[in-house]
Amino acid sequence: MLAGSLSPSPDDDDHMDTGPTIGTATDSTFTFSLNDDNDEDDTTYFNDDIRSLTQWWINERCAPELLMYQADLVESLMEMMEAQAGIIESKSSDTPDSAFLVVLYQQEMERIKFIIRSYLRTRLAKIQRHTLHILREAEYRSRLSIDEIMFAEKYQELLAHHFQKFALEELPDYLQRLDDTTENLTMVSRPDLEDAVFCRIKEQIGVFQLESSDEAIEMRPNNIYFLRYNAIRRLMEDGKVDLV
Amino acid sequence: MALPKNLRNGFAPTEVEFLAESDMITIVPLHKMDALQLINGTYGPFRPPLKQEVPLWLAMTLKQKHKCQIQAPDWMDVDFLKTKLDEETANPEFSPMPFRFMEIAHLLLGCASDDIPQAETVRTLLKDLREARQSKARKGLQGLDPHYLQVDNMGLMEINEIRPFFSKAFNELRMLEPERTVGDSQTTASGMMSMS
Repeated sequence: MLAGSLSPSPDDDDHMDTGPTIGTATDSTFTFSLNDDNDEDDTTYFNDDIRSLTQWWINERCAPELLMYQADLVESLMEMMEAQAGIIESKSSDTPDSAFLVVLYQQEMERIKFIIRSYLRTRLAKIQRHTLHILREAEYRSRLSIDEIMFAEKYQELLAHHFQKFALEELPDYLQRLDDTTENLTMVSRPDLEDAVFCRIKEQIGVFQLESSDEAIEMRPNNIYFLRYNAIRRLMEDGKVDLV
Repeated sequence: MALPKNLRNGFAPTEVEFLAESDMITIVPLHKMDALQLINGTYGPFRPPLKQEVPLWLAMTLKQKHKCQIQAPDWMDVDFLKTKLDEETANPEFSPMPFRFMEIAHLLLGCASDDIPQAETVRTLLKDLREARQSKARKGLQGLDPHYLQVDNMGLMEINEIRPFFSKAFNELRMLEPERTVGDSQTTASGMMSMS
């Protein structure tokens, strides 16, 4: 299909582009010291970005609609990986011990790259599925990164051009539109927000009234529910529940 | 396409395991090694025989290179699992287990079975436990309605296994239900909420 040329090929996994600018989104200061032989060195730190992005990746994979792009997290992780790569490069790996350390550092970076790649691909798949809808609704448009907007516009253009060339131009004018609507049918495909999802409650929510029925459920931390995405959509955006 | 078809309805089992590899586990280092300044945080310095908490992926790599022993989690214990199995067969609900117990058990039994006391018995008990829980999940399908289902204490691997079938069934039931509210589902906000 036409789309093939636009989607990232599985082979260029190592090449990642997250945005035209490298921002300074991260608020965590980090100092690396691979050469440090001093045990008492007090540079212990902890960074939660990987865990946060992992959860957004899971949310993105489970949610039927496109979620807000986590620009800060992706950028800060990309920056940290760049810094880490520089340090690894400067580090000699001539002894077996230091070579092993380098393997460990690289292993962590590969894990992070995997999450970022899968996250971006999940989003691209959704953009390809509901291109026109995402481009037209201001709310969804605002959830895209600059690169994603460019991708979506180009993709829609190619698609429209393709359909036009191969079939539509032979049809009468009134049949040429790609976004026709009748009373309750539309050609623009939209995500089904009532789709079923599993979610895990993170904090005390209390009595929760389901929109689709008269039943109310009491949501406590660590409860796991299988329900309509629409019901817990806002709670997920507020970080009160995680999709799983 | 950007995301292969088999990944569009849930996660691949390998991805679920990947997620479990970020969980923390206790190791006993066998070699002296300086602290690791990873992006995620600092781990170490490793001074045998002082115990250290590290992510599972790191523990597994160290284990493969014979640089550490992995301390089996409390729940990977024969007596504990026997009690659990009794509990599981006696009660209709899922008994509480760590959210990623299946994945972690599978990974640890694969790479560090020599560090787990009575590993073979643990393996068998976990298998029995899993079967007992699977049959519960199948029974749970009878309780499915198009509104919600509470599945407390199910593990991520278990959820991921039932996901394709349950979502399909849920969505079919939803279609069969008479229309309740007329409105655009795109813009309707979430259910009303009252704090208790």
